[in-house]
Amino acid sequence: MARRFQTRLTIATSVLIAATIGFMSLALIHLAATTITKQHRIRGKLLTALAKRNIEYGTGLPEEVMERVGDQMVVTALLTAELVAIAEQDGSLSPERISEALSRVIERSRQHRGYPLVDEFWVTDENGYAYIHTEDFDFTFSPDPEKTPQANEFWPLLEEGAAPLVQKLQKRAVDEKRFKYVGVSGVDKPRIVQIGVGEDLVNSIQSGFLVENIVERFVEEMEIERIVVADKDGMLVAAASASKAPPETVADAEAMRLCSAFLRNVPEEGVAFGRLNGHVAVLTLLAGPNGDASRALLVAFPTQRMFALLRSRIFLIAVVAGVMILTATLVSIRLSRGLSKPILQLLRGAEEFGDGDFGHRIHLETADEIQVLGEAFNRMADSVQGYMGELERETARRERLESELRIAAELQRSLLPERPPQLAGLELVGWSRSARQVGGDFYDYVEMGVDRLGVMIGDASGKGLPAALLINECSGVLSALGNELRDTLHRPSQLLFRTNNALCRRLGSTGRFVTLFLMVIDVSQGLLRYSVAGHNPPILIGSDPSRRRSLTSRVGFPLGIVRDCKFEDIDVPLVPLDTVLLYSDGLTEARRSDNGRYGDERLRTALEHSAGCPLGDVVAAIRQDVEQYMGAAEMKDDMTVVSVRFCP
Amino acid sequence: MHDGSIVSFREDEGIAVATVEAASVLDALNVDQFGKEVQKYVRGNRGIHLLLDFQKVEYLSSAVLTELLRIKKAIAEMQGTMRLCALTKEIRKVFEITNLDQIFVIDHNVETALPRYRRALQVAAQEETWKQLHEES
Repeated sequence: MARRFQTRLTIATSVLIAATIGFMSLALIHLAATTITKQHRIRGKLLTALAKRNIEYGTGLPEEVMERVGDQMVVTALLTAELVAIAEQDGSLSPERISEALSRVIERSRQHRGYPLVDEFWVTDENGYAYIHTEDFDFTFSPDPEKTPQANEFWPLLEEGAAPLVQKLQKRAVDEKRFKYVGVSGVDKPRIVQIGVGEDLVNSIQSGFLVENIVERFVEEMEIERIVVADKDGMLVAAASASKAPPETVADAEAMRLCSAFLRNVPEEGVAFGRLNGHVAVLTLLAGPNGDASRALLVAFPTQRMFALLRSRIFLIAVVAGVMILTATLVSIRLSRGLSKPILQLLRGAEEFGDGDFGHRIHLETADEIQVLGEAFNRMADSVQGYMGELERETARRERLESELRIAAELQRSLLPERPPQLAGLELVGWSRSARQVGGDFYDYVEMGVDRLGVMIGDASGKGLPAALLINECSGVLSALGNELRDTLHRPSQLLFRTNNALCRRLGSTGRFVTLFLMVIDVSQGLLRYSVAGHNPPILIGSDPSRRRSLTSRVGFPLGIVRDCKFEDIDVPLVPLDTVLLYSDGLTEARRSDNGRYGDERLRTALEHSAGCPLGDVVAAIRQDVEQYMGAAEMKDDMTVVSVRFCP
Repeated sequence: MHDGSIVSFREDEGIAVATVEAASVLDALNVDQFGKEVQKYVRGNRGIHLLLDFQKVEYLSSAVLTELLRIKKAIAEMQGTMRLCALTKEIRKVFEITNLDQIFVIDHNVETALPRYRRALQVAAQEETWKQLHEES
């Protein structure tokens, strides 16, 4: 039992600790998950901001770059003006040779990048005629925009000291190709030195700043799942994904829906979060080509890394929690052992005590309630030990008493006749049973020669030892007087009279008494003479039902009550097979467990049913009938039956 | 009964009615208690006229006879008289068998017992008066 207590204690503490740790672990996991998600969002936000900045920067940059390209072209044009002046001043190079040299420059620059870094050189005379050029047609600048649209802007360079002119990238009137032209004035004479850069270079510069390219680079470099840029009309601007899928696939319906929803209802902080196919999506506003924030930028981050991080944290927390629970369990086992040890001691003590070691005491020094319990146990043990001592003494005393009672019972049994006397013409059977060890019933036979016999039955008031002592007394008196009056016993009332007076003297006013029935049967005369001292009237039955009668008397009280009380003798002539049943009231007063009483009627019936049987069987049948009637009920009073059958 | 006693006493015009309250007076212990309670009452009342009422008793052990004889003795010592009433049929039978119904006056119930007892006492008193007058004359 204590083992179970220890186990229960261990389980309870372990469960408590495990629950606490489990709860804390869950809280930590939740915290870790929240933190990681938050970090991820912050990272996403930062990357998105970076992407936004890059894209917006890229959108504005080409113009600026093209301006710088123009600056470099100015330098190239100045150099060309200087070089042409030097070559013409020397006179060694013809315009054709100079044109060839410039064409080589173009060709060599093409070899460097795969496309020409400068496409055209035009050097004019003071009339605007381009006599040095790298194209295979002639061209003459004119101040008239009708004649030379776009080129007419360069006419003022023929004037001395004119500032270089840088044109924006624009379509050429002659062939619709996009070109950028820069012109400077000559150094040796009025002239226009113009150089042009074509689409290839412009495209290569601009392509670096295209939204599509920026998003592609971002996806490649920044571990981004996908980027989608959409405008407010729901049109796709650019899209890129790590899987390098076509932009239309990347910007699927869900991504476009997110962008549209974001643009419709832009949060105050300008940033929103969403889920896109299981990825974290960050949405922000993006400046369009006109500089207004009319576009949506969606950046989706792969969640694998986040989940991997989360898993690693959960694993770590689980391992730590496991170790903590294990440690706590070990500690709780130790703790419960410590707690249950004194209880085990108490249990063992109680078991020892229960097994009969009444000297066993418990010594606990736990300085708590268990020690108090141990001390209470010891006090109880002291008391029980004391009681046990008393009980042993009492038991010994009882055993002595019982032994004395046994002796008394043996003595009392010796008062009853061992066997009935043998007398021709009479059958006799007697039986007596005490409710306790000793009883208050007795019966006896008085032999009075060859043809006469006295039979008596008596019942002392009360039960047990007092009744036994009384009956002993009465029996002694009867025996003494019986011997003395043997010759006059044909008048039984005389014996009762003298016995009554003797008992009255001895009993005084105790109120105790003995009922007695005494009869003398004269076999030769066939006569029964009886005298009664308040005893149950015996039943006489014969072979003829008309013989049935009760042997009553209305004269005489039980013995020991009224001094000088008179008794009467009543004669009953006997016929063969007359049977007389003498009994004590213990028989008719026998009770069942429901308090039902055996009664005179049932006794009479039992007697009549067995009337024809041998006398021993008659008594046995009556005994059986009473015992069957009583069942398991306790026998309250002594029972005595004496039966006499006249069979001359 | 509330104090554990099994007999209650009341006075009814010069007759002390002792009612046995226990439904069963069977075992040695409460028969003894019954005797003691009545005797104690009797010894405190010289010239008592006691009516013992067994109406509430369903079972009465024959052991009660001894106690009744003791009570009768005690009453005689106190120059009193006693009667019994409402005995069970079984106990009446015991009285008859033992002929003790010749020693004790027994009535069927307390209602008939009281007037008869009172009448008997009156007759006895008259007899006593006559006896005294006769002796004087």
